[in-house]
Amino acid sequence: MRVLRILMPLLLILALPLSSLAEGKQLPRISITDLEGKKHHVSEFLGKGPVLLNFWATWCKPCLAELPKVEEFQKEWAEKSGLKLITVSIDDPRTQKQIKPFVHRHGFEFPVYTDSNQEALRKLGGRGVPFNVLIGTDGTILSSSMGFKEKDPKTWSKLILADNPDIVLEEDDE
Amino acid sequence: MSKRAGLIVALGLLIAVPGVSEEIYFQGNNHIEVSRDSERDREIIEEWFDLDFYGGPFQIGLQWSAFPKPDPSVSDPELTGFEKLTHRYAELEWGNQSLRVGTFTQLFGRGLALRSYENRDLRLDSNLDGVLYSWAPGDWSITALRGLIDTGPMEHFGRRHSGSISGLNLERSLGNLTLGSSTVNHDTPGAAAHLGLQTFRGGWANNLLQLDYEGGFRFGDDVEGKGQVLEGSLLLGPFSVFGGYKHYENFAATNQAPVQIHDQRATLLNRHPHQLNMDDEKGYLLDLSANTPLGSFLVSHALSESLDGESGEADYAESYVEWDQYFSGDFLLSAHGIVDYQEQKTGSPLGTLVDENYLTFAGDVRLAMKSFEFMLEWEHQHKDSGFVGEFDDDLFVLEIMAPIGWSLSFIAEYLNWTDEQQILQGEEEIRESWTGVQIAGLIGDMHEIRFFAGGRRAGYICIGGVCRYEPAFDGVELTLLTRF
Repeated sequence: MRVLRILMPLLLILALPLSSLAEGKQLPRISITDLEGKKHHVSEFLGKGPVLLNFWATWCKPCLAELPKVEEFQKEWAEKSGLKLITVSIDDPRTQKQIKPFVHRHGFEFPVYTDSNQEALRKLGGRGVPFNVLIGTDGTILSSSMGFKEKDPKTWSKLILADNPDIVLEEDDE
Repeated sequence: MSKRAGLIVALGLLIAVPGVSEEIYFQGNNHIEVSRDSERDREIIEEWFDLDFYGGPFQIGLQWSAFPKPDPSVSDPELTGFEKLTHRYAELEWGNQSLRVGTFTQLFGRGLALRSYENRDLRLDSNLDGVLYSWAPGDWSITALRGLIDTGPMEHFGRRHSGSISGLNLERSLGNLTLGSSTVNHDTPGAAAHLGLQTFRGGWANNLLQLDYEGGFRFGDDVEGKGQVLEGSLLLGPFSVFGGYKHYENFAATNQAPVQIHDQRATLLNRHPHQLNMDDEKGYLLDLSANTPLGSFLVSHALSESLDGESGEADYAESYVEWDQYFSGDFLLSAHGIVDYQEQKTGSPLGTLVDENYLTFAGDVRLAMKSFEFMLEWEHQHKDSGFVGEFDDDLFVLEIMAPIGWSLSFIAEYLNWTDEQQILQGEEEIRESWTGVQIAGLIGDMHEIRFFAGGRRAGYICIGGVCRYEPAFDGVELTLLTRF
C-alpha cells in the first residue's frame, strides 16, 4: 500500500494525455546570471522574437557536439524571426571563470549566462544537459527537450513559423 | 503551523488575491526511478515531484521526495526509506525586491563565504529553511538571509550540517568594475562560539580581459582562518590564457570556493576527483589554449598541496592536453582527444595516504548524417598505485541516435586487475568487466523514458546524448521523467 501511495503522483501524471502539456505553457519566472555576476530574469529577453534557451556545461560532450549546430541555427533564424540564443552554463561556480576562455577557444560567439544551482534548469523540467527550451515571442514554451537530436533544428523551424505566421520565407529556405 | 498547513494557506492566499487568480499557472515535473539491483539483491524506488505555482508577483512551490527503497550507494546505510516534503516556499516579488519564506539555496559571490545548493544527481542538498530578502537598487545588489540548515535525509551522511546561518551580501557594479562583500555567521548547536566568515571581492572585466580577487578571514571563535582566490583570463586573437591561485586555511563552513582544477569531460577522469580541502590547501591552475584550423587545443597544468607542503592530504598534480575538431559538409564529423596525467595522494582502506598516478587517453568520434547520429568513444587509463600496483581500465561507448528522438547506447568497461588488487582497492566484489545497454526516448512530448539493463560503475557519464551522474548499479532500471 505504501508504495502505491508513493507512486500516486506518477499514476496521476500517467493518466494525463500523452499530448503536449508542458509545451504551450507560460515560461515560469526564472532567473540566470551573466558572467559578470549580474542576475537577469529570462523574461527580459522576450518580446522581440523567439528565444532559444540552451543549457550546457564545459564537461558535457554531447553539448560540445551540439553547440555549433545550435549557433548555426540561431544565425540562420535571427534575420528571419529575430531569434535570440541564450546559452546557460550549469558549470559549478567553483570553475565558472573558465567558461569565457572555453567559449573563446571553440570560436563560439553567443552570449553565456550561468545557472550554478540548476534552479532554472529544474523549474523547466530539465534533468541533465544538454537541454533546449524554445520560447515564443509572448513567453509561451513552444518545445523543451533533453539531449540534442539531428531533427531538432527542423522541429524548431516549424514551431517558429507556426508561432509567427507573418514570417515569409524565400524559396531557398523552404 | 505545520509545513503542509502553511503551504495550503499560502496557496489559498494566492488564489484569493483579486486579479491574481485569473493569471495563475503552474509548472511541474515528476522524476521516478524504479530498478532491480541484482548485485545487491534489492529493489530501488526513488521519486522527486516538483510543483511551482505562479500568480502575478506571487510564487509558491514544493518538492515532495519519496525514497521507499533508496539507492544504497548514495545514501546513509542506515536509511531505510522515507517520504517527505523536502522543499516548500512562498515568494513575493515587487519592483527590484523579492522576499522568500521557506526553503531556498543561495550563493554569495563565487561561494567562498557561502554556497548552499541542491545537486539531485549527487544526492547533495544543503538548502536553508528561513527567510531570504533581495533588493537591487540601481548599481547595487543586496541580499540578506537567515535560516536553518536543512540538509535532508538524502544528503550524504558525511556532509550533513546542522544549526543556523545568517548572512549579508553586498555588491556594486561600476561599469567594468564589480565590488562586493559577504558576511556569514554559523551557529552550530553545542558549539562554544559561532563561526563567522567575512570576505571582500573585486573584479574587472571587458571583452578581452577578466580579473577577479576574493579574500576573507574567519572570526567569532579562537581559530585563525583565511581564504584567498585570484583568477584571471586574457583572450588574444585565437589564443587564450587562464590562471588561478587559491589559498585556504581553516575556512571550511557551508561554502565551496573556486577549486582551480577542471571539471572533467572524460568519464574515467571523473572517477577520482580531487576533493578540495578548505581548511588546508593552496595551489594553482594554468590553461593555455588556441583555436586553429587544425582544431582547438588546450594545454593545462594544475597543482594543489597542503599549506605546509608536508601533510600530503591535498597533494594533487595534473597535466592535461585536449584537442577538438569539427568537419562539416553533407555530414558532420566531430572528434575529441584527451591525454591526461595525474599524481595524487589517496586514502587507502588502511587509513594511510598512498601515492597514485593515472595516465589517461580518451577519444571520441561523432558522425551525423541523414538525421542519424553515431558516436564511438574509447577511454584508456593506466593506474599505478603504491598500494595496489599497476592495472589498466578501458571504457567503450557506442551510441546510435535515430531521427525519431530515440537512442540506443552500449557501454562496456574492462579492468585487467587481479583479485588481490581488487581486494586491496577496497572493492565490494571481485569483478573485471561491466557491460550495459540503454534505450532512451520520448513518449509524446511530455514523458522522457530511459531503460537500462546491465552493470555500470559510479560517476558522471554521458550516454544517450545526455550527461548526468549515475550511481554504481547492476540489474534493470527504468527512469521516467514527466514535465507538465
